[in-house]
Amino acid sequence: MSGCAIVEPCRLRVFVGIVGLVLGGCQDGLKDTRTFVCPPRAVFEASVSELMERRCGTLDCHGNDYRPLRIYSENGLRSPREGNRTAGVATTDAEREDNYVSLCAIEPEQMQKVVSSPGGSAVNTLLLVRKARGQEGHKGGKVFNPFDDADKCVVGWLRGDSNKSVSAACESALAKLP
Amino acid sequence: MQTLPKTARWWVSSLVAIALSGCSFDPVIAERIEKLPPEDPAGPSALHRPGQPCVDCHSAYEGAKPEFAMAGTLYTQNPDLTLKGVPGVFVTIFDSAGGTSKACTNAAGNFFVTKEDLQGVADYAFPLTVQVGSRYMNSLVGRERSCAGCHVLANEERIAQDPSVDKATGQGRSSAGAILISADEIPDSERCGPAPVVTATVTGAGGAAGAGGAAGTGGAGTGGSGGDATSAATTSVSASSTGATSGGGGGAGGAGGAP
Repeated sequence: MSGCAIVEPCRLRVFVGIVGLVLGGCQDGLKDTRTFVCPPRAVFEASVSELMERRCGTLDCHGNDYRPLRIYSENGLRSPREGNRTAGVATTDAEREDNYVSLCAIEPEQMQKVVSSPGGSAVNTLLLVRKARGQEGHKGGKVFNPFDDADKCVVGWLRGDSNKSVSAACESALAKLP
Repeated sequence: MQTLPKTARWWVSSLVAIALSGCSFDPVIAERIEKLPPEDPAGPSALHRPGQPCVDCHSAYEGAKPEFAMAGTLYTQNPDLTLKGVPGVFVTIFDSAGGTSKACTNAAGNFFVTKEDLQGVADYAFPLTVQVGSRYMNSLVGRERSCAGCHVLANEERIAQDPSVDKATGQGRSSAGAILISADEIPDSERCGPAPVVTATVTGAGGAAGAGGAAGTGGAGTGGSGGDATSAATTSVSASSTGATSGGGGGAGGAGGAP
């Protein structure tokens, strides 16, 4: 057996080694942080978030801590950072910001491809879009039909359409919800 | 290559079928069922387990009968902040295809629409909206059939995990809390049984005397420990359904032992 002839010093060395690895791992993790480009945040927070909150962010769907796509809202899940309750105060800026991060972080590389080719067809490959359209397994089923107002709202934002058209589509989609 | 004898093939295919049928296990539902408190001492009835996620068990998954399309419990809050079930109030469920279902709360405040009540319709078209008395639910129902799946009451585990939880209603960052209604939010058109004499409470300590039952298939409740007078009256599916002829809420008898 190499090294470790005396038990206690050996344990100490192993312990120190593990701590070193853990700390080293943390450092490496920070160094590996990468930045991805997302669609415009202002448009999302002004128009898209409200539709996502109402249609997708109910407590029984994406208003849930256990969903990879997590959506905070006034009548759904509240941010753990602010201490608000469901059906309490209106959706906060911090919650809309978290919703934005949640959507962008589902497929960051793919999202960057969409943003880097405005108006392109890459948007149709996004999990977010495919699930909402019912083209990918989705427990909530088909939520949008291609080119309906809700689809135009979300896809328009992703494709970089004008604020005006995205806003109009989102408002129209919201008005059609029961 | 020699084939298996006919009997052996039958056994093999049967075992494969049994194994595959067991693949419907849902760990999320299973965990929720596991955490439920024990059954009422009196056994299952239309009054049992108020405030609990009814459709976890009353479903094709768990097999309790009848199978529900939607179910929950309606409460009001006492001055001392405790909750009590509200009988005799219509709960109206609107689906996205234009269908409407009505259910009447029973003595425990429980209401349910069975799958059979959805006459001629395979299922609700989600998302749903819900009206209780004169109030409409703020959010949509995305796919949960148990109201208590989102309207979770307070319990020690939740309070320990989330200090923001209202200890009386359960409202918190991840729950809308109990479905609450007050008397002035129940117009006559939304009453479906006797005046809501409330006897069922969340902590229920046995059945108290209840009011007499109204006419209708709900029966003639006379209070006490609950019984046939307390089954929920439901009428369902169709925009023209008024529910006016469905059974009354029955007697507002005691819902003893409600957990």
